[in-house]
Amino acid sequence: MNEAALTDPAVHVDAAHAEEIKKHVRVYLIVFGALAVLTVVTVAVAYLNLPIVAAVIVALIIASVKAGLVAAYFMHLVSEKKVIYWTLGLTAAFLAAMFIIFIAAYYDQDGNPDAEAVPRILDVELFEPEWEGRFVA
Amino acid sequence: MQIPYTTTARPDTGVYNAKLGVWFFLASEVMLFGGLFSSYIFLRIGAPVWPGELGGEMYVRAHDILNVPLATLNTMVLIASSVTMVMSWASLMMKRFDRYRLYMGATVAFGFVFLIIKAFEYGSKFEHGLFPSESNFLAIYFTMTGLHALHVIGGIIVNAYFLGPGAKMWKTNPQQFTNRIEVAGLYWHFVDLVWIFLFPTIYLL
Amino acid sequence: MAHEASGTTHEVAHEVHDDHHEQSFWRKYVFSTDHKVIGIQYGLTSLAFLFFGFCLVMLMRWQLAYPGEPLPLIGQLFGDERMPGGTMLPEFYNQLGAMHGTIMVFLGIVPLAVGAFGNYVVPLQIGAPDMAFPKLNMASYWFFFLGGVVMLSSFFVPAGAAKAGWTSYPPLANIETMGQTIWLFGMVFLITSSLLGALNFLVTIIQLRADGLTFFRLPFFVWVQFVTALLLLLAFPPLEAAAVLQIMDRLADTSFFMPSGLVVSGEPLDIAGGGSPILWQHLFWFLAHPEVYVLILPAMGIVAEIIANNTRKPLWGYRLMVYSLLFLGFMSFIVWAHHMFITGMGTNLSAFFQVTTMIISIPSVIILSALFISLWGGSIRFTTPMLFALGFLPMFGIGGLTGLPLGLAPPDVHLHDTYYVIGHFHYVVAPGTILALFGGIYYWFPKMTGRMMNDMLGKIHFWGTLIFMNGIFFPMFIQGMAGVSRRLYDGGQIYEHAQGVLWLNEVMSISAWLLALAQIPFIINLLISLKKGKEAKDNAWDATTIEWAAAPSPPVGHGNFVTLPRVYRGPYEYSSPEAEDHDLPQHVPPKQLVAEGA
Ligand code: HEM
Ligand SMILES: [Cu+2]
Repeated sequence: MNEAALTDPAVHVDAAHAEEIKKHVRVYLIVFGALAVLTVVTVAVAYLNLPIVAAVIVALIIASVKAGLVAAYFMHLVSEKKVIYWTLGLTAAFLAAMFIIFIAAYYDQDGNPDAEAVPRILDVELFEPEWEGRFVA
Repeated sequence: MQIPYTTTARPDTGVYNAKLGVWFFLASEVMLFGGLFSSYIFLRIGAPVWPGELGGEMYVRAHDILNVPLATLNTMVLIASSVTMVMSWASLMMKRFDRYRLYMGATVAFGFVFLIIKAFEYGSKFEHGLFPSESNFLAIYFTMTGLHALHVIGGIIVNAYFLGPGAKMWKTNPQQFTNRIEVAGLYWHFVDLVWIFLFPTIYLL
Repeated sequence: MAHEASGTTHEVAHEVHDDHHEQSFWRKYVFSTDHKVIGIQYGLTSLAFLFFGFCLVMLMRWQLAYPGEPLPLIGQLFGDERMPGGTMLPEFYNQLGAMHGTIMVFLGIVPLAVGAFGNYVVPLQIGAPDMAFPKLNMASYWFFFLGGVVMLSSFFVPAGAAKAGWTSYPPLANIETMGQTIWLFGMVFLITSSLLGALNFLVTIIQLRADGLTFFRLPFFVWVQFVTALLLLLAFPPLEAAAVLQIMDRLADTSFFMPSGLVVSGEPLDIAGGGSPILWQHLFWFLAHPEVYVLILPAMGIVAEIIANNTRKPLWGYRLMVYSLLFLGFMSFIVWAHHMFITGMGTNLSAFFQVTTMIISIPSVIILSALFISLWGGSIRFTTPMLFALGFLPMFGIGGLTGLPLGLAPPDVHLHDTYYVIGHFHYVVAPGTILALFGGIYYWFPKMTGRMMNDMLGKIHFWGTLIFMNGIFFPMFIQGMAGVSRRLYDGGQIYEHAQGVLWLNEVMSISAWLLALAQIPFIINLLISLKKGKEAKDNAWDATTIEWAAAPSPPVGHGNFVTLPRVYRGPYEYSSPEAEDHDLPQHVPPKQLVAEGA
């Protein structure tokens, strides 16, 4: 393929450059494999019916790793310029603020019957009939 | 009149305009889906049981309601499309326009496969009377995956354009065309990335 | 688009009119991609919307001053479903109120401050030939236009426009009539428009700065547009998410914002329930607090330009102002729930938001103080733009200071949703931002048209506007502290405790109508100066920033500058001691360079 490109005068290819891209391509295929494996793992873990806390933690860790791989290699974030890191850093900060404050806002409200209760998303025994219909925002 | 840095990088920032532009756009998309995810968390921690009652039965696991095998397949499809997308860009970098056509065609095809599977999934939910109005769980499911599907459609349109009429630019300005594919790729990977979070949080937890 | 950019700058200015052999009328004035034309399109459209929003409120002020009395002359024209016999129905009052707020904020002030001034001035001030993405720029304007048309159309659907306030709080907004759905779709268009605009501004400012124009040489106005664009880019999407959820609630009967067990008019609602109305408020204010900075920051930028130019000296504390601005932009994302103190928020969270709110007031005070201090020792030219800039300072001061009690939960419990709040934010946006925007129009009009606006008419306009604005909004504080709620159809007649302050309603209403009259000199001035105004020099105000110093008035049709400038120094080197008290425009090479180069 490299030869074909080189002999075709219309397509001028810098050989070293092409080599580098070829290396990239190898990385892309490895990442593809990793993503596929992680997808299978996360589904398998889901059917273990782990306690919800553990399930959330495992699922989010796997998702973050997958997202990290996509961002780092497919979106070339491993080697980006400063402006783009700044942009994403700022966005991440506001995103984090939104998540944290929304969650805090739920747990810290007057008149919420469950304000003191165990956070339910983290509760192992999820199904407790006595909770039914008790919550009104 | 020429606008500077449409194809070449500005020396001090190191990027060309469209690349910076698409990253800003993606930043806003992060906040859009961030708003939806925050809403999801807010509603979910407020719900006594999640997914909760549906059609007289109580569910505690989303995978008892949703079709996980189909969604897993869809995850694979989307990941594969990300790979073909990045390969199409790499092909252009290697000046292999023929391979670009191949990979880009595959990307568009995978996009369609994703949508078709999604349509089956929705269809079978509707058949069983599972509509967004039935419960907040279903409302979240349909809204978030629906909005994601709209993003997939948007991506397909862009990619199909670069496969068809947009590809003419390769002849006149290969550098700018390669940039455009890179930028379209960034968007497409982002759509994949959103799905990577949607899949476990909605289907598996 | 090649053009004959030869000859002196004056010739170029006239040539701009002769290149329609290249472009059809439609491409040149309607679907234009030139930032200057788009800026003017934004300007005219948003002025029209401001006027329309003002008309809505003038109708409301009739009802508030003379509740239940038929509106003479024009009252009958509104039809029986709005004003039977000329008397306003409560439903119509609510439509007017909600649409006044929406139109003023999203279709009036922001597009004028950002879409018009930002678009027109930023590329010129950074020495760029256009925005980074001219086609996106055009798309942004047309999304805005469409959003406006959609909003206006909602007046004509069954049961009329949205009635749940500009804040659209559910559950009320969810059970509203059809107008609310249209409001939501209108917002989606407007949000799209401002996202496209914002990313365009960011890329333009980062990528297209002229050679030598480092960030700390940017005029303050450019900085302000930069931060504003960041706010728009990152704060609007959560509202878009919220709009999507509310659309789902309304059209697909979901319950994102609907709690369980809701009873409407005695009937339990047939919905799944389990949602949260508070969730909407969080999403809405996540946007809407940064949005108030979007309303005020461009005004500060305009005022800074005008003050530096008319005091003929550098701004005091330019760097400090920039750092304050950045800090303010950052903080504006974590103060939002000060609008929600009375929603049953717990004490910890409330303490957090009180603290962040008090902190964010510091950078605003720094910027305002820096602008005041900049006046010190200047030989001030009291031009019309300068009058408006000077008027802005105390008016914004009143608006800002009256906000402090609202940022502290204990007084806010008393003041929340009263006319005090209406007074507070109107001082910020009306006598504040609007004065600055008028100042900006007088200041940059010569750049846009090559002609000056009339000074006498300008001064009449200024004094009338300043006086009557205060006549409208100051009494609102008094009424609010007396406990008069906002959004009252009868202006508070039914409240025993409000009786003592009701007479102010008439004062405010008459001021509002007089304010309308005070705009006549402005409109006349604008129209007449277009054709008959005194011809302006290229650098009409002897400014040092490059939009004045290096570009013809009006700038070259495509590309702005005859040759793209290079920048050698900061923006406000007026009366520089280094140059025997002469002004040093940004683009003029230092003396040595001139000597060497020539
Ligand atoms: C200059 C003339 C203006 C007058 C006379 C005026 C008057 C009023 C009045 C009387 C109300 C309260 C209505 C009620 O509570 O029933 C109101 C509400 C409001 N105004 Fe203005 N206003 C003016 C300009 C502006 C501007 C420039 C803005 C721009 C941001 C604005 C934004 C709002 C908003 C957001 C509301 C709240 C609407 C709601 O309750 O949902 N107003 N205005
Ligand atoms: Cu606020």
